Amino acid sequence: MSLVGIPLILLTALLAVVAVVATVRGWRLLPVRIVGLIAVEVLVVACVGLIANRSESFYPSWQALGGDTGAAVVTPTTAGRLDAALHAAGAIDWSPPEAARWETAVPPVLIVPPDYAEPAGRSFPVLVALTTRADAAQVERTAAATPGVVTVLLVPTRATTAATLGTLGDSLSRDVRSTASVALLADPTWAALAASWPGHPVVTPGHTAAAFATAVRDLPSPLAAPQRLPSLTDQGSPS
Amino acid sequence: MTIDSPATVLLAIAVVLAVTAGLALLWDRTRVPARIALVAVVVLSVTGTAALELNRLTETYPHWGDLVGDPDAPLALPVLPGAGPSASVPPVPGPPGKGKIVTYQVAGAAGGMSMPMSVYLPSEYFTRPDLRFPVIEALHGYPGTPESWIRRLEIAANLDREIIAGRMAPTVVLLPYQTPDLLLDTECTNMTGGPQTETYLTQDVPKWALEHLRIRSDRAAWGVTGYSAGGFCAMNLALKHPQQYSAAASLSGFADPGIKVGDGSEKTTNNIAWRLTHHPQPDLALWIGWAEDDRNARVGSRQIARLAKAPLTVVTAIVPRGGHSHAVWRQMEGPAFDWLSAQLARPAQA
Repeated sequence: MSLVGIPLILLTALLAVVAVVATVRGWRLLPVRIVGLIAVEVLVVACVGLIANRSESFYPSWQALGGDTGAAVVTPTTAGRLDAALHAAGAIDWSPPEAARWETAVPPVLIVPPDYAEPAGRSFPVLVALTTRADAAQVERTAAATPGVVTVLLVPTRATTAATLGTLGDSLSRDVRSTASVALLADPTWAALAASWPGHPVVTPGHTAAAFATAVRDLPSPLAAPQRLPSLTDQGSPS
Repeated sequence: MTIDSPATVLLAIAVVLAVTAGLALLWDRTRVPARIALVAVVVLSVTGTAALELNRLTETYPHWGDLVGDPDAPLALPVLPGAGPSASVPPVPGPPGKGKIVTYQVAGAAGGMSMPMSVYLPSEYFTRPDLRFPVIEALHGYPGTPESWIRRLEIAANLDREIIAGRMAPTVVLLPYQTPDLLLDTECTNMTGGPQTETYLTQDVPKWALEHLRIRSDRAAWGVTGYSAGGFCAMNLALKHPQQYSAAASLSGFADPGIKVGDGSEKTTNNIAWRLTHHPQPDLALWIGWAEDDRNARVGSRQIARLAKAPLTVVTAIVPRGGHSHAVWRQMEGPAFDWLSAQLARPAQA
């Protein structure tokens, strides 16, 4: 019988009436009197509680009343495909299959911070540094010294657009322990490209150590995979 | 014996049984006025016991003193020692790895409210005096008090666990009252002719926290959450004040306040569905959780998720069952705080 159904409420109310009648009829007998009064009290309180619970769905089922939510908190683990290489080298020329369409002047460089390995299993926010051939080496050194963030160094060309870079996020999350939090560092040459970036992340001009520090400051901490509950998308129904 | 302990409720039940037996025993020896008095005592004891249990569930009156105290008088609480920079150093750290909950009196100039506020300070707050921390305001339901977060939802143990596991960055969590009158449901709004709770929570509390705690001031590091009425509050306040908050998490919140604010705004500016269809949506991240068998929260939450458009983003979290209860919110606490921390700017050098 449902905890919030009409039948249970009616049954409780009926029992309350029965208890009242029985108590009145058996009033002369002291045990009946005491037990009957207590039964009336319990049933009346239960009836009021059931009605309130039905209207507000505090506990819609007996399982809910028992504290059973039927939910498992999922903590997905994420390892980057290139973790081994990145742990060894710190920075690697990055050539995922998708990179062919990014139209960059030189292959992208993936740079992990000094704290990438310890403590293990954390995912890092991402800095995308849009720079020039001339500055690339310096930017790579600065990135390697900046803790708490994974850096992708890109030297775009005129053919590079936000649209051609659309696959960057997916490639990153597959190859390196990274999150969807992104900030941009942009050489003045690439200000327009940075401004059109999908999701409009914060853009910090330049790529000095100070610019790195400013950009990283507003990104989340590197974190272990979060506890997660099922979402609407998991259920496959948007409404 | 505390007002919210199971022992207190058991004692009350014992009293009910005793006075009921007393009525049965004394009935034949008493005249009508005494009998009426006996019935009144029995009825009072039954309703009193039910009220005690309800209060235990909601923490509406967390202390015996709250029942008798002058509601306008501030509670006797430890206040920050001294003024100026020394005030930002709380008295004693907790054990290693454990955060600490400290309670302060927060008087708001703009909203005109003066209420106690409990603050969770993470362990790192004491070990890393060079850092300023991100902040989450966590709002209670109605009826309820910040003690609901502390005692029923065990917020400190949950935050300690998430921070130690590295799923959450060390974060300062503020637990303000959302009503000056424990039996007045404000839904965190500025009520016509009543408390200016929205102003208190979005201006006075942040201002006080910045003056007294080592926290970050930028919106990137500020989030807000809440359960039940507090869930509505979190979404509504963040949508109305996106310059103050960058992320909000609602645990079983509704899409509308369900009260009369006094100016009709429960149908417009204090109605989330109305706001999402009549105003440009802000650049804000929302986490919306509910139990699938909690009808009101489910309908409201799904409606908000459906109406959200860029730059507003929505992540949903669904518990299969559990209704509108603490079991659901205990299940959602870890996921909600982890998500908030993953949106908020990190602890940073002052």
